[in-house]
Amino acid sequence: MKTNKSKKTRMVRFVVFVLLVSATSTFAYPPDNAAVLYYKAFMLYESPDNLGTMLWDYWKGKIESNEKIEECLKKNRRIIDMVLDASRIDHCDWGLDYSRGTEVLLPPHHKARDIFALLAAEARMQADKGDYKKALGCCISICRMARHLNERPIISYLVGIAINAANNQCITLFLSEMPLNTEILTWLRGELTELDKQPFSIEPVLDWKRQAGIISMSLEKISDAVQSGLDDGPTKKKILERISTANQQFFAKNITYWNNYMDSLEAAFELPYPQGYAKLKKLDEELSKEFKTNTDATLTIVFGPAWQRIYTLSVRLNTHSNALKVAIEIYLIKAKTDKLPDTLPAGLPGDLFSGKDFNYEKTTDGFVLHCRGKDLDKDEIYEYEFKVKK
Amino acid sequence: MDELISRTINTERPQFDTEKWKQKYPEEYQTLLSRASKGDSNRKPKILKAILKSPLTKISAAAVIILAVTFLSTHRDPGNQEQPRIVEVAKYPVEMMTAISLERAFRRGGIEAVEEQCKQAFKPIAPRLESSSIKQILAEFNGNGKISGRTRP
Repeated sequence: MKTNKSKKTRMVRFVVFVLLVSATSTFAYPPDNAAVLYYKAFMLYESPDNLGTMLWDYWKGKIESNEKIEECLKKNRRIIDMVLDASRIDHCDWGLDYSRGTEVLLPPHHKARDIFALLAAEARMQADKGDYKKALGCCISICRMARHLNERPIISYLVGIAINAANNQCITLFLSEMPLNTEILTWLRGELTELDKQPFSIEPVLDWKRQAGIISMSLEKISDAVQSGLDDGPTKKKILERISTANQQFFAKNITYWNNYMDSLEAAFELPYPQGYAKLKKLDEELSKEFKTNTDATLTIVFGPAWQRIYTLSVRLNTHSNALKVAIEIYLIKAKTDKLPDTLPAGLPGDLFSGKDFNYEKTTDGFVLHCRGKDLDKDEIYEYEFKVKK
Repeated sequence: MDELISRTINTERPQFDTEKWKQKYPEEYQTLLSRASKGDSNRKPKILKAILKSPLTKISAAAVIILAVTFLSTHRDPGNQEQPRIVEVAKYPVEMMTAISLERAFRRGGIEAVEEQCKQAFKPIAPRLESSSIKQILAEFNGNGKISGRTRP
């Protein structure tokens, strides 16, 4: 009798436990996949037509806040909160079908730019209220969102680059305006160091590109890839002609050529910028030349995007991020000693265009970090200006 | 009727009906006759008839048309023959949102072109109404009003 009672009690406890666990998992918010929230936000947010570039001008500090901006932020509060929640989730899976090779369907990442403008405007609003920690916190969330966007396809990486670059500009502006505050600066340094544990990297992109190319180099998939990937013209015509008479050996040889090409490409990305850029240029020229006579190079030309440009964008973003880290150290010195250092402290990250330290210059209202190497794609030398609030 | 269909869809060797042509284009016929009368008045209509009936004439005419069409299509704007197309031919959103298609857009115009292509793919089907009054909504329920949802343009 006693045993039966204890059995029943155990059964009831078990049922209650199962119910509690299932209820928790059914109604859990936020979900364990950030992409779910991003998809929702992208779907629901529509940049108001009557705002034009107002949100962009506002976060850049070009215009003051107004009723339209305030209304936009108010009406989209739930979207802002949703994206901030998403950025705090570690796991982000966009649910892409990579077995489709280069024909994989991408998420509506163009909405990410609009969402960025909304978050940056929210950050600016916080800065205007004097809450710079909250404003910079918003920027850190944007950094995390950009990392979430960077799944394997190149386009996702490029969207992430565009958002990170604008976000770096946003952080630079806030640092230049805010009163020196050791606590906020130390916190910001810590957040950026934490982000570096999951670096915004091109490596998964290159890995995926290699695999996607191989998947698409098959008799069943290649026609769609050529039609989608190339503009009409003599090159496309020639490729289609070669494919029309292709056999298994043709595809096998093209895959070998592609693998060798990707090996060289990955090696180029590892080199210092000037050498890497020169190697990518050479690879591009060799491919164009070989395509004319070597049928093994036929399909590589279909899948090779503008690598030099992508490489330069990647170096440019990382250089700007390095400049921010250096600037935070300089601001911290100023906050602690009340004066700017005469030279750069040792051991700080540098200008990736030259592989050297930034050229540091004190100005009347702050300091400038000059790159020593040139962006070879745009033939331009960058400099990053930081002001110090007096 | 059968004869008419047969001529229209050209199931047999084409034949030129001179008499009908004369009836349909009397002025042109008179002009030809007056020109002919300047030379040998008896022989000219026969020659014209012979020329028009000749298979060589028909082949030559067809060849001229083919050559003209080919010439126009390949040499209409030779400077732009090698240029990549900037404006995309209308595609399904599914085709516009593939990785390789968006990479192509990037090669053409950078991240802005990617964004534009995505926007085109996700373009709303039609403009939405700003707002609906209660009367309008009720009218829709009763099947008397315009549908306030999205409609194809």
